[in-house]
Amino acid sequence: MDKKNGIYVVFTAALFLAILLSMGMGAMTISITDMLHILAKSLGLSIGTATDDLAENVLLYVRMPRVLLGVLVGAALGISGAAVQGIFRNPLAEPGLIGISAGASLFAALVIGMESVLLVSLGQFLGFYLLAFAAFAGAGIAAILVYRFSRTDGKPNIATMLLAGIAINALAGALTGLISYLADEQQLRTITFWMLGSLGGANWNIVLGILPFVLIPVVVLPLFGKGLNLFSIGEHQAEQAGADPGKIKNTVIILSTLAVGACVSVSGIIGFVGLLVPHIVRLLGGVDHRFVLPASALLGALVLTVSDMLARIIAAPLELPIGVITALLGTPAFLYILYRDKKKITP
Amino acid sequence: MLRVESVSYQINGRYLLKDISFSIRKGEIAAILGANGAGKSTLMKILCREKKPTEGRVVYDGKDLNTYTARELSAKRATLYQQNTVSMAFTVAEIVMMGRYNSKHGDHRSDSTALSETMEICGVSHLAERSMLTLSGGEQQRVHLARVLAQVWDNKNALLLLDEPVSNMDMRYQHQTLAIANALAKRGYMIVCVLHEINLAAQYADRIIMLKGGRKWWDGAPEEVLTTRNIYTAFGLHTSVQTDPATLITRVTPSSIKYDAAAFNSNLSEIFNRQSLKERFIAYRDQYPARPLWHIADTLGVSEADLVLLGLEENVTILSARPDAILKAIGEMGLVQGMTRNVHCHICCTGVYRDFFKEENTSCFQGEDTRLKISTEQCKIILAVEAQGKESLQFFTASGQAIHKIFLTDAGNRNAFLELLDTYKQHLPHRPEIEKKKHPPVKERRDAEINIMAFHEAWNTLTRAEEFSQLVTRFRLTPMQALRLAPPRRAMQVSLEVFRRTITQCLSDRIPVAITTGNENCQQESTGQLHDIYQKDQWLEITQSNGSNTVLNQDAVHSVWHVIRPVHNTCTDTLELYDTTGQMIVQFSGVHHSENPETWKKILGNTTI
Repeated sequence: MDKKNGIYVVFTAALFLAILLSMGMGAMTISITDMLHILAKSLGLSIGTATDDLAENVLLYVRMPRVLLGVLVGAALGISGAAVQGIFRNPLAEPGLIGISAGASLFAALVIGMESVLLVSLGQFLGFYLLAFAAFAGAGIAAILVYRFSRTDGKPNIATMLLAGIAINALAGALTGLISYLADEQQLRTITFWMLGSLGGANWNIVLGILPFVLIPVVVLPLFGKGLNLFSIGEHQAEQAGADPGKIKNTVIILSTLAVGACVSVSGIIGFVGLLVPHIVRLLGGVDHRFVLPASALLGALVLTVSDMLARIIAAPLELPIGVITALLGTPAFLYILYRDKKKITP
Repeated sequence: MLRVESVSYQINGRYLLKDISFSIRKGEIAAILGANGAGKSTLMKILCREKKPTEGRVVYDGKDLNTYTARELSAKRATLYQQNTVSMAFTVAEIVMMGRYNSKHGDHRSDSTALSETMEICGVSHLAERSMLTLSGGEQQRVHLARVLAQVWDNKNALLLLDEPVSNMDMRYQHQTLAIANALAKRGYMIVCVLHEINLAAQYADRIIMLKGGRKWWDGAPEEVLTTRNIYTAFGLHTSVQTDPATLITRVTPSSIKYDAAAFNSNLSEIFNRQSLKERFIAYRDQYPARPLWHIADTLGVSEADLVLLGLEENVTILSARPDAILKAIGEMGLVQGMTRNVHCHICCTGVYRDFFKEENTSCFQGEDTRLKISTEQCKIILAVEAQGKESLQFFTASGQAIHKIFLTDAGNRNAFLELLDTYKQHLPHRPEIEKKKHPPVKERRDAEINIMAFHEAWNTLTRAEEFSQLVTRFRLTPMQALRLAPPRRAMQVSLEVFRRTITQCLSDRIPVAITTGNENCQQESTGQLHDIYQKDQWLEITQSNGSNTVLNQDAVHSVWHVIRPVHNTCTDTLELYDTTGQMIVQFSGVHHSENPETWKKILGNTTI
């Protein structure tokens, strides 16, 4: 078994372990046996032992959707980060660079800031989903703007895209700042909390809602592994070797925007996963995108599951913003690997 | 087969490539040579389809290049770019393997064969597991070469496009890389390769395509293309070219350029000035005794008049700036020799300066077989010189550029010369201030701004040949532009060979020819049968039966034009030689009052066709 397969196995095993642990731990501890019984029962299998109704409710309607949401969001952020770094040919890139996060934040802040006005008319109707829809719309609008600006001859120009992204980020950031300035104490807290990210709102509807947005990129993006590898020797060079750079850029940008936009809309902004996870993967198992893309999805899911668990138990019964945990956890790990292997990645 | 069919590429109305045609056959290795900005890279970009030609097309294996899909093309064409930056820490083997991503069957065996063989021949096998980011520039270039070779390793009809493939490599790998290309070509591959090193092209290419200013300047076997003259035209550098008798390979050795740093770095001129101009001049002249004065002046960063004035108070007298009066008085001196030159050509005629007349701002002499026009307005410095037993009068512009020189011959009247000196000698001689020469940039107007119809009309209704220059001025054209925009069949570009055949024919048929040359302030013309033609290196010396001789630097000739101007009821046909800056070097024309004015035209017509 070569190194790359080894890494897949380790990541997958660790992810399962983390899922189990995460479902068991929290304000109420549920043992593995109880967990199995509850799962069996909900699938219609009767084992005979009676289960605690409260534990059943917590597991099926609170913990499970929350953990699965973490897995989906983590996988989406990890794989999009890897793909976007590939097309930007820049290891410092992340999906936020093309304005997705900033656009989502702006619209989320708008909704929170105007809550009192909006809730009366729309709020009752849309409820919690209003925030998610607004954030998704914001992410999409920002990404479409950046994308339109950067198109020359039907192909996105990567350098222009970077600059347009910086401009849209600055504009959205300024407007978000303005809304925060006008907001009252409570709204400001909500905005800040949202911007640091949380999986707290998870339920089955949300999980099923973002499932296609995550599943399609996770399945399709790894098919572009070879293309992204060729991209790293240059766009023209890639074309000479038989790749279609226009198609690669369009697909990667659209799929990453959908995935990240969907995630941001339900969990707020969770930083560092998109930037650092692909790096850690590369440092462990090499830079071949055919490996980096799926491995980043796995590691992203793992990191987010663990982070969410920690966010719930460190200061229980309070909950920390998950963005804080990912940064606190990811940065030292990254710095350590960077220190150990810097000769491998910088000439 | 790859066929380039009159391809042009323009961007914002400026042509980077103009009307390029050639074809590459199976098994051929062609090198593209040319100076910086000649269009080599643009041509490569068109061949590899990164850019689409604005006119013309490229046909590859019977199909327009644009009709291929990227994938189809990748199986039969691989390109090595000049610049390759790898953004992630791929290993060498991974990079080379990228060349195989689109191999036809995904056949594992042929992939691994291609991988190991290309890495072996490019000398990167021992680096297989190293990260690309840790390699030197030359090693990286070899890895990319291996990748590009791997892409078409199993298709011996493929085309390889190599854009400066050896720019970062050491000597051994430069040769090894081109040897690989040459060997692959011998087995059927087509190879087009941009090179900077002429000798590598001579050694390894079957064929050289030389570009200049976006046009194809020459195309042929290395020994045909690589001549001192072609290399000078394309690169502006003097070289000597030999053929190795053992291998029959052409070898080009550039002549070294010599500068004095103080001449171009004003911070060094303090040390430089401690040595007087005179000392520097003497030192330089001793080193290069054959160099003409103006050439030394150029090298020392002064004007020709500066050097002549070094002899002030010894053998040089400053005359008052009254050129008309002085010129009128020269007739008294009897037989003299008049000399006019530009950078690439000079003419000397012997005769008497009679029949002076004024025409606007120019003074003219119209002899039987010579003619002279001087813009006396520009003659600001007039010097009388006695050097090596020869007396002369020399006319300079305010910036010290020579306009015209008149030498007293042995048969001339020396007393008249001394008398003239006495009359016009400046009584309070002060050294004339010589202005720094300015080079106002010549700006060519865009063709679209020019009323071409009116220009054609004016050209076709000319009545005197002299009016032509006024016509060019009136339409605000550069000389080159005037020829380019000429009415149909009025200006045809011909080769230097046509020019040489024409004058040789005139020599053997004893046809009288008028030779006109000069600079912006003086034009001198000599008419007569050609007496002899000598050639030494790049210099061509033409003597005429009237004793005139003209010396011409053939290496400086950028283009030769056959120009037809209507005069009265007939037409004058001229052959005009231009340099790279678009200035006329010399003009040859027939003689109207000769017994048979049509012979010149006939010769010209025959040789041109």
